[in-house]
Amino acid sequence: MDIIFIKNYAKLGKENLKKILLFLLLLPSLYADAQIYIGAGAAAFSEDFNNGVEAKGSAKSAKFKIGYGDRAAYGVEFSLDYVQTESKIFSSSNAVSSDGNRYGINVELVKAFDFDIYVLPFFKAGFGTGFLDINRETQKSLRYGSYNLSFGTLLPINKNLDFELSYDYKYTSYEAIDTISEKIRYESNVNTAYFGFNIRY
Amino acid sequence: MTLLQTSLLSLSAALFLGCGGENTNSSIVADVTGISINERDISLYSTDLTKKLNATTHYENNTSADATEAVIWSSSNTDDLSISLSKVTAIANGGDSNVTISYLQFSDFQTVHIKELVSINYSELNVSDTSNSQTIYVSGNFENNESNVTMFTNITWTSDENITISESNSTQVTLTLTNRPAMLFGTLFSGTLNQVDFNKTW
Repeated sequence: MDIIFIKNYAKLGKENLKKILLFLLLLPSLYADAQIYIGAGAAAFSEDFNNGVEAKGSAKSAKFKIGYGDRAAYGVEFSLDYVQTESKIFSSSNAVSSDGNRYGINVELVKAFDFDIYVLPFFKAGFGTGFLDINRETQKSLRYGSYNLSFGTLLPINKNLDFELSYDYKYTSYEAIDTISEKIRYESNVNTAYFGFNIRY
Repeated sequence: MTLLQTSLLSLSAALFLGCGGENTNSSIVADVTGISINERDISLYSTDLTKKLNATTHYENNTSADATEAVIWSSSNTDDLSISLSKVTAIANGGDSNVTISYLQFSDFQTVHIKELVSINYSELNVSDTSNSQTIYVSGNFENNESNVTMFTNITWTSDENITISESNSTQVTLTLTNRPAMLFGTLFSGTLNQVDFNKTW
């Protein structure tokens, strides 16, 4: 297969062939220690709104994630968030006691560092999207998008298991609230303390 | 497990358990309770220009806001009354139409009555002058004995061969009378199915 691959690209010239070979050689070495991992955990969620809006929300949340990468270097991670909302920020005054649940999906790049100190500090950056169930006459859910940043540390137990502690920040921008006469957009800062575990294969 | 790992786990557990904060318990945006058309007992003359209507959104905290541009406007009888956004225009000489506003599950309507033009008043014309142009002023007599109402639009003027019209609009006609008997034709909604003719003979 490699021969066919090289033959197909032979006409690109010697210089190009050298680059391709070099890349093919580097690729496996870059990800020599990469593993697929799945993880889960719980988090304490806190949300403050921007632009002088006096509203706060706090809740417990859960996260499930799947990723691929080297625990001590780079990785890419997909995660699903679930937040059981306790505040009532968008729903009608009399209809319900709180907004509904919040569901999100995120993709983040992970950079971890191995300082040989038994823990592996890391930071993540990415973005997410999701929706919050609400109860209003004009809307039953509110979509949102977010920019995500987090930092924390992995606590490796063995080659296949580690605990994860992190502080996650999300700059969240909500779909406009439809009041018929006006469409009002809200933005918030979401701070989350996360604790979970990862199993690597 | 190292001391560092144990310490971090303990610290995070303590922080995690200690988390919890304030929760807002009332909506930051008042919910909608309804929409309505502001105007009541709406009517317009068949010779009126467009009439602008307005709509309002009502909220659960007893506030309201203008919704004229946000809602969808429609007419139940588009042969009599046309509607463009919030502006209604008579296209027939008389009749009633329901104007409805709607937005999702909310709606409201009001009946718009078009007042029928019954006859036209003409100012004096010097019938002995058959060489100079003269201007006559016109106004409308509408249903329910409303007389001398200024007409703004929808009237066009034509004549027989004994009158030459040099200029005309809904309120005045400049003409030259050349012979008698002479006939002037005022046509409401000319060229439409709702056309109505008003004739004057001198």
